[in-house]
Amino acid sequence: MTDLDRGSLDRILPFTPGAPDWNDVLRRARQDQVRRRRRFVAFAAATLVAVVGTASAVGTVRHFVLSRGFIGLPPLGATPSTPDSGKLVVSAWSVHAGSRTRLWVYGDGRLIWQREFVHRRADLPESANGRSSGFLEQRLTPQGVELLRSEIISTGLFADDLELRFEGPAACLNFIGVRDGDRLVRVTWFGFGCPRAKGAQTATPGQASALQRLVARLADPTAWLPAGAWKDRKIRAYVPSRYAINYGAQPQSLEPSRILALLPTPARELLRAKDRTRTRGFYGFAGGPMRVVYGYSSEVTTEEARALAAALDDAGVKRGQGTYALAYSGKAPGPKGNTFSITFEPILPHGGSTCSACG
Amino acid sequence: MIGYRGARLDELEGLYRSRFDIFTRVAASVTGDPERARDAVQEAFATALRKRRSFRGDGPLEAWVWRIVLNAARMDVRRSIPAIGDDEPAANGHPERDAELRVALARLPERQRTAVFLRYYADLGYAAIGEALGIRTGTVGATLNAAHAALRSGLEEVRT
Repeated sequence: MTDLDRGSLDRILPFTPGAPDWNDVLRRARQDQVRRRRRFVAFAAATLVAVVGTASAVGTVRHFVLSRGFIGLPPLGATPSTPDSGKLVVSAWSVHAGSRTRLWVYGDGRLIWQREFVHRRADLPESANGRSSGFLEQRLTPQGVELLRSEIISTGLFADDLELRFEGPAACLNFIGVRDGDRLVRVTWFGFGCPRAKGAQTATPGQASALQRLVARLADPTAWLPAGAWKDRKIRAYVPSRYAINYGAQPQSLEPSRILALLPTPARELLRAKDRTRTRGFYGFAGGPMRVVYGYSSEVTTEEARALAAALDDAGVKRGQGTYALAYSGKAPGPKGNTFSITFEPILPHGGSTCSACG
Repeated sequence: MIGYRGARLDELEGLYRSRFDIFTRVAASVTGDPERARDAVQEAFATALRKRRSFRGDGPLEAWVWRIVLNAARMDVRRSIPAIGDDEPAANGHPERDAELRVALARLPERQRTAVFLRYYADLGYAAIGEALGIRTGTVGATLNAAHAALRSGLEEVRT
């Protein structure tokens, strides 16, 4: 007897948020046709940007600021964001109105964010593509940073780290972190029907409502922060000076030496010479226990990242679609279907990076 | 020349509205995230709309759509490692029994697990499951038998 009744499966399968939206289906079908027609034009435009960037980098030193996001490596000559490092004041990862926003605010006023359009196509002119904005940057005044920070603190939820689970629809992972003196206090919450962190307590209606309100605020600070909060409200691309190269194998993890052995010599030598840290992630299906997978991360300069990408391209390693991040993959030793991947993620001013394709 | 039956717009809309919940929940078993599953279903139906003239009509329309939905969900998995934490059993229904079944299901290969959900949750017949998974009808029976055997063994292992 294998207990396969519909009721058991109904309880095991995760609940999905939202009602059917046929109009969204019709819109996606139309937009895709338009997008196909525009693809050629977009390719031509991207080539032009690269040419302009190269021209700017040669001869005179000029600031080459990108007015829209990009995925992967910046065009040649793009001016990196300054200063090189910054003190993190706020960080967030949350879903609001059909898009997932990851956001970082720094003591020097930088507001860096990335939006993933989950349920709808991008409606942001600065977006890198229809699915991901890429990393974008605006600048706040010191008062603006404090207004944003105090908006979060004033909920009263950020006295200590807290893990909550929502009883209603929510994405599987959401968090907001805020600086309180020397500490970064983080509230994390999980959606109903998702694999949940052990020990998470059920959110009260008041907690859920306060977090949802904050999420809406953080998704669009320009809508409510006063003019005096902004040093420069104009949206530009965040151009990093360094990249995290994350590599690993899934579903069966492999030792770094076994992954590096699969790469062309220049890429292998470049990564072998770098320090690396071990990372831990989860892989699997929502109804069951997630499988822990281990990966590795090394830090490189943008120039080294370009050399690495060129080596992988030259060797014919399969490059991903580049919708969310620059990534490569290929067959790995182990069980059938085992795959290695190498992903390039910008390093943010606090020295950390994110996973642009994770949910 | 091959004559395609094609799928009508109202047929696709009817299928979408009546089976939306089942499509998204089974897709979530592949993507690992309900939000992404919903997105995969929306994209899949948009694809089905664009390609509706290529539906041959030699099997059920639902099976053809399932195939597109599962492909969209798998594409999503290929691009991500869900960054979510440790799980815990559901707090409704029969927690212990569900937790055991959950563990046993999670250990199945993806094709077997999806076949189980299509058969026992979406109520599809063998021919439709074959079309949805891109395998022969005869292979569906073997796949489900293998799933049953693995589940029996998995449940015994979990319970001992």
